[in-house]
Amino acid sequence: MTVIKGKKMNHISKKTIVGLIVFGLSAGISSIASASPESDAKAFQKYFTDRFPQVPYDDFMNGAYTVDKAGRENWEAIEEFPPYEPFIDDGQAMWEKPFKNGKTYASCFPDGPAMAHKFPHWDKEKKMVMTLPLALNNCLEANGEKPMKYKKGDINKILSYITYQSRGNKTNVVVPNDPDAIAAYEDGKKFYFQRRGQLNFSCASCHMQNAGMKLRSEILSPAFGHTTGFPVYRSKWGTVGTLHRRFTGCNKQVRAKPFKAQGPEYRNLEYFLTAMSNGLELNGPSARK
Amino acid sequence: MKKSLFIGCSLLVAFSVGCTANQTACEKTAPEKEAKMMAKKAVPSCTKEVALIQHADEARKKAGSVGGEWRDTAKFIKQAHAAVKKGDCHKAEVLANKAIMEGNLGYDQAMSQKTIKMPKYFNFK
Repeated sequence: MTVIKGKKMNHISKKTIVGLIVFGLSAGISSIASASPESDAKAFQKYFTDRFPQVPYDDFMNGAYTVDKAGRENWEAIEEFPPYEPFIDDGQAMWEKPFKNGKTYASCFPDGPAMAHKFPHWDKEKKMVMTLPLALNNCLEANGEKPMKYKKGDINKILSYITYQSRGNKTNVVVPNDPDAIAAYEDGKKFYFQRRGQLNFSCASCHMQNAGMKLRSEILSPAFGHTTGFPVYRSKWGTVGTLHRRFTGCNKQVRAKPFKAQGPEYRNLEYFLTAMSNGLELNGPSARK
Repeated sequence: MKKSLFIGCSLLVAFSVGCTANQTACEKTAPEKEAKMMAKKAVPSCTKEVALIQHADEARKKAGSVGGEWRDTAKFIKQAHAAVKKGDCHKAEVLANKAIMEGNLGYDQAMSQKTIKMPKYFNFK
């Protein structure tokens, strides 16, 4: 400390302090401005690749079996005679069967059936996230057919067929520079990290913070790669089920009232979660516990 | 065997004759019997508990309005209604209070989560 004529002056002058404050503020502002779906995905994936350095990048599409050795052996044995195969066959029949008006699903989806990697996407006209199940039902209704239920039943057959045909394509969710699309993405992101239910858990509580740890007897799967394998044949269900069925189950497990399948909450959540797995191959349908 | 059969039949005849002879007496005691049966069937009104259940449903809806409804709140309210029907006012009160607590906590939880910060273990930088 320098003493000048009785006044004590600190070497850190007022100018320096102000400069530091401005620097700190600009650093904070620049980090918020640079937060984008692309940078989110990068950070999200880095979190898991750092946490599980022994897991090859592409292997994250295999869910809990990336980190559950014993479970993986059982799963690989199951995959020799996959329980979802009949669903693929039934789904193919559905895809090819004409509606009452003579048209087929191909009329709505000329690029199909290998099109699962194009969903979810932002529908600019309808100003909402468009998911594959919703698009399929829109096609049915446009052709005078009854829409399918979103969690159980026939939807899982046609989804199994479409995702099987789409295998090998990479997840590539694009969030356009559109305020409504960004808002939907941010809603999904917020949902993912919000605590809910009597147990006060967020999705991140289990699948980020405690990924690879045990919840009772089961190993919690990493969130990176969560969406690539849906629809899944879950041994617990004894059948194939959709991603939104799983969202419903997870919310019930933390004792929160689940939201409606294909409602805005779960579609936005799917939008965020799928974007976080950008770069991973689709490998649905798949078998899980 | 023949003796016991005879006694049984005699008793049967005597009973039916007696009922017929005392028909007037039977008719007189019927309203009393009916009143006794009605008294048994009557259940407490649980007025206070019904109001509490209404309050519970309002708390549930308030939580639901912000996406914070918990899984079992509606079930407790339904069970409380069923308890009122059976006249179990105490059970209805316990269930209604449980539902009120869940509704309030669910609302507070959802409101606390409206503006969230990213968890510390997840660095976006």
